[in-house]
Amino acid sequence: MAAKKKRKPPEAPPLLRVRDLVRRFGEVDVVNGLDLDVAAGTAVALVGRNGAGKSTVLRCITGADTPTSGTIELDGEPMDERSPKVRAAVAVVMDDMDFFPDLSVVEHLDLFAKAHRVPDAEAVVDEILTELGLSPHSGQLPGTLSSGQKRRLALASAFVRPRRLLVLDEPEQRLDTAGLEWLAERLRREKADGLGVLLASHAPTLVEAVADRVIDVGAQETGR
Amino acid sequence: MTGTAEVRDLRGDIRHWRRGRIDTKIIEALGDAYVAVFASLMLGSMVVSVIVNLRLVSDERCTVGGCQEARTVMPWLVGLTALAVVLALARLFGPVFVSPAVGSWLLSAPVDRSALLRPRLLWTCAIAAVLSSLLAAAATTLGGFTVDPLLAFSGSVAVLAVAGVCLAALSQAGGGLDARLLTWTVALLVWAGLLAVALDRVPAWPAPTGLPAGAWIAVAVVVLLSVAVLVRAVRRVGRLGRHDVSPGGSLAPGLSGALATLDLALVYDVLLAHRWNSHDAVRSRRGGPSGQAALVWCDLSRLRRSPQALVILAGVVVIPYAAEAAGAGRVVLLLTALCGFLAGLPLLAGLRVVTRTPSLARAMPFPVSSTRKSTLVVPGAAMVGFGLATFPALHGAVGVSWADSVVLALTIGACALAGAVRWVTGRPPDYAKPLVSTPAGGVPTNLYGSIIRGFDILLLSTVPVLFSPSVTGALVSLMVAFGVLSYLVGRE
Repeated sequence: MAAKKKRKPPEAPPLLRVRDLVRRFGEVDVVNGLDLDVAAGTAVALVGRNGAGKSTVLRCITGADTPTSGTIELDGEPMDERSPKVRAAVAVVMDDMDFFPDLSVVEHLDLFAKAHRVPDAEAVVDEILTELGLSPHSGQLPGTLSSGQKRRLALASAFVRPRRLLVLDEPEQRLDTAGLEWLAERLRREKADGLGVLLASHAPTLVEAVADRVIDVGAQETGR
Repeated sequence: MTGTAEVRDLRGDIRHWRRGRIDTKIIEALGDAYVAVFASLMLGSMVVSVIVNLRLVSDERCTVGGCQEARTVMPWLVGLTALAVVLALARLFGPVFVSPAVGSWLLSAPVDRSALLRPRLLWTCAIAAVLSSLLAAAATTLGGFTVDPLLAFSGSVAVLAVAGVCLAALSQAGGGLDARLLTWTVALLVWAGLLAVALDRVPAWPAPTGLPAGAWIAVAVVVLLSVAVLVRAVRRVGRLGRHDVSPGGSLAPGLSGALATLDLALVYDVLLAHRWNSHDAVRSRRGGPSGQAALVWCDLSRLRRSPQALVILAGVVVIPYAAEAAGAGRVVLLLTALCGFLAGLPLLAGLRVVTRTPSLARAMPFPVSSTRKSTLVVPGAAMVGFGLATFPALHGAVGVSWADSVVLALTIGACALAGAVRWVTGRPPDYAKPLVSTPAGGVPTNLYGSIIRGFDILLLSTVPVLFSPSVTGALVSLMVAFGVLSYLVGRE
């Protein structure tokens, strides 16, 4: 009797899959054929010199820019940031984050949490405010915050809402040492909770502490 | 060496450096000056001609009671409005302000601050005096005043404007509370005057042809008081701190940059940011519903925090009634839409911010169009309320039935909202697209159009109901307004 051939179960697609991503500005290929996978529970860091195309990659992935060619998939489906499903799954902190000038810190975070229908939103917001040291500034308007505090607020906006994939563009910018340590610890927790993390960074300590895989954009990939 | 001399030396140095970098030839400078003077004279003479002709038309046609009453009170209302605007602008900029460069380099230098700030205060006074007197002169000309009363009235308004600027300067160090109260008091007087016109409580006096002896005494008292305030303000200007004069200096370049690109939406951003940057902290309001309703809740929180926007919208309701009482006829429709449009703009802060900040819109778990719709709920409701509040005036102005007046009023509210949404969702000039070649260099195709952004849709949507003030005309206008709103809210 012939042995029964066991069929291998189909491999689940990674949380985020990018294939042959190209972004061309005029005659210049800023991103040229990038492949990238982010599985749930892992973190991928994009590193490279200024102008290498790290932010461009993230902007293409988050829909802030349109790639010249290539495919971007979330859960094996083409990723379209206009889809509410994608917006609910992907939390993004880019450098262009701006705020309502007339809403306080805590009102912003309440808005993000409530818009995403987070149960017990106010408790979640209070916890994040405490973690980030923003509680004493919860009543301040964004225009009166320092640049570091604004960065913390932008990061907080990603952590008060449900998410399966975090996309962060140089999250270490303007953070002090304590803030950087908190961020590394928080991102490790995110991974442990099964979330995918994709970040572009110039901070070797953050990349070292968080990333499972490092991609040098504009050069060859380095495995870890 | 005295402090004054040191400031003069510094100014001399700066002038010397600037002159050293000038690369304009004298012939080019003279050519530019010629164009500027010629254009000013040509435009000025056109404006004067229009005003004089309007006066002649008014003399002939403004014979009905309501029109004559409005004409009697109009110069006074315009004079008070000019004062309110001068006070509001003075508070917005300081009135004493310095550029960021002066704030960094000269205010930190050990020089006499009075000598540095005094010319700025005096220039502001001079500009306020010239502009307010021109406005008052135009109003008194239209009001049928002869030369003597016209000069006395315009001069008094100019002197009062100087006093207003100086009072604002005196209260600048203390947060400007006195100037704020004065601004609201003058605005309330304007509103009361409009209410009197609307209620037919203004006597139709003939335009003054001469000045009674008492008037000169009143003018002299006003001048003396204003000079006293000016002297006091000039003496105290040196006590202003860097934090008092810097915010206005940061605002000025932002506004001039936005105006240079004719980007009215950016002007809105700059003013919004300036207003709220002066608040250290606010009392946060928590709770509220989830989902899209959270954005509506934010707009309600905004209104509770800053009810002035709603107060102003409610206040301008009196204008259509006053215009109707003055016998403006169908023009009341256009005027009502214009009032709703301008007074409704401050209610659209939420929509403006999510439009200009894609990252904020992307952070919401619903389509951008849904986010924009949510930010329109509160302003939309306010405009419906504004429209409904004006329907008796529209009824009197165009003489349709009460039921039809309600439809017209709601239509006008929708037109005003469409115009305001067009203003705040405007895209900035795109220099990446093909440019039009002009003597001033390459200009984006949408640059000049952006100056009329908002007004274009207001006019386009109001025209059908203006030419046919009936339910049919109103339905056509509503279709245009909703079509524009739907496009502006839905576009990616």
